[in-house]
Amino acid sequence: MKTLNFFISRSLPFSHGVQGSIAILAALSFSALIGMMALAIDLTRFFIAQNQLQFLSDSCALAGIAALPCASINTTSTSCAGMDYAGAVEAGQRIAQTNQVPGNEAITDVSFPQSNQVQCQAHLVGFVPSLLQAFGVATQNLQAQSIATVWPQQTSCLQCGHSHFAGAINSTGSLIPVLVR
Amino acid sequence: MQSQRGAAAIEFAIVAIPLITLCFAGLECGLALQRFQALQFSVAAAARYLSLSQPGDSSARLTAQCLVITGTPNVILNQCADTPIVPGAQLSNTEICDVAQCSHAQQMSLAGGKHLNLVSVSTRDIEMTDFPQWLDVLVFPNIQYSLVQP
Repeated sequence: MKTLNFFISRSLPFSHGVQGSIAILAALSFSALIGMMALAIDLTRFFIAQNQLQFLSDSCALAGIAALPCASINTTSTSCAGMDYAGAVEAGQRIAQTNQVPGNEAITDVSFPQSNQVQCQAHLVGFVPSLLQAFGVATQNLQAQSIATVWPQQTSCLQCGHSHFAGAINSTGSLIPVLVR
Repeated sequence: MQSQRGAAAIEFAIVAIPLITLCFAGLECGLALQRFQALQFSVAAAARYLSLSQPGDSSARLTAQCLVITGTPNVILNQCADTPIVPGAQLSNTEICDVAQCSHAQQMSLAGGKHLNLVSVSTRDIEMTDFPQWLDVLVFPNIQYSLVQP
C-alpha cells in the first residue's frame, strides 16, 4: 500500500502528499471493477439473446418443414400434390412470433434453398447493451440461421398431415427431424 | 505533527466494505445469469424432446419436466434423479402444454386448411433462494418455448 501511495503521490502532479491517495486508488479500482461487471453482464445478455434468437430460428425451420409436404392434405392420395411453400412460410413465421426474444422484435425470413429444405434467418436489429452504452458501445445486430431438411424425399402422400415424416432415422430407429445450423 | 501510522489500514477498511460488497454482488450476478442461461438451454432441450413425442405422453412429460429442472432427462421413481439447476426448483415450477393436456387449444391452423399441433414448455416463478438472506429473493423471468408436435 505504501508503495502505491508513493507511486500515486509522485505520478500525479496535483498531489503533493500521500493524504487522499486511497480515494484516488479507490476511484480507479471501482471504475475498473464496475466497467468489468458491465462488460460481463452485457456479454451475458448478448449471449442469452443470441440463444433465444437461435431457438426462434430453429423452431421456425422445424415448423416450416412440418408444414412443407403436400399442398393438399388428402392423405389417401398416392402421389404428392406438391410442396406447400406458402404453408411452410406461414407456419415458420407464426411459430417464430410465438418464440420472440423478450423486449426485442426479431424479423424472420423463410426461404427454400432446395425443394426439400426450409431455411429460416432471424435478425434482431438494435440490441442495446444497456450498461456498455455508457462506454460508447453502440447497438448491435444479431442474427441466427437454421435449415431443416425433408429426409428421405417423399414419394407418397400417405403420411401427409403427420408432421414427423420429415426426418432422418436415428440409431434407435425413430424418426428425428434434420436440423442444420 | 501527529503520527500517520495505521492511517492506510483505516482508509483501506473504509474502502474495503463497498469494494467487497461490489465483488460479491458481481459474483451473485454472474451466478444468477449462468443459471438463467442453463435454464434457457434446458427449456429448449425439453421442448425439442417433446416435439418428438406424441401429445399426452405422460412419461415424456415427466422426462421433459426433469430436463427443465435438472438439465438431464434422468427419472427415478417418478422423481428427477439429478440435482436442480436452481436449488429449490421443483416440478411444479414447470408448465407443459400440448393439445392433449391444455384446455386452450394448442393447434396452429394454417390458411391452406392444415393444422399443426404445438407444444409449449415454460418455467413458472423459479426463485434463486440461495441469494443472501438480506437481499430480496430473485425470481427468474419465465422462459417459454413452443415447437411443433406430431
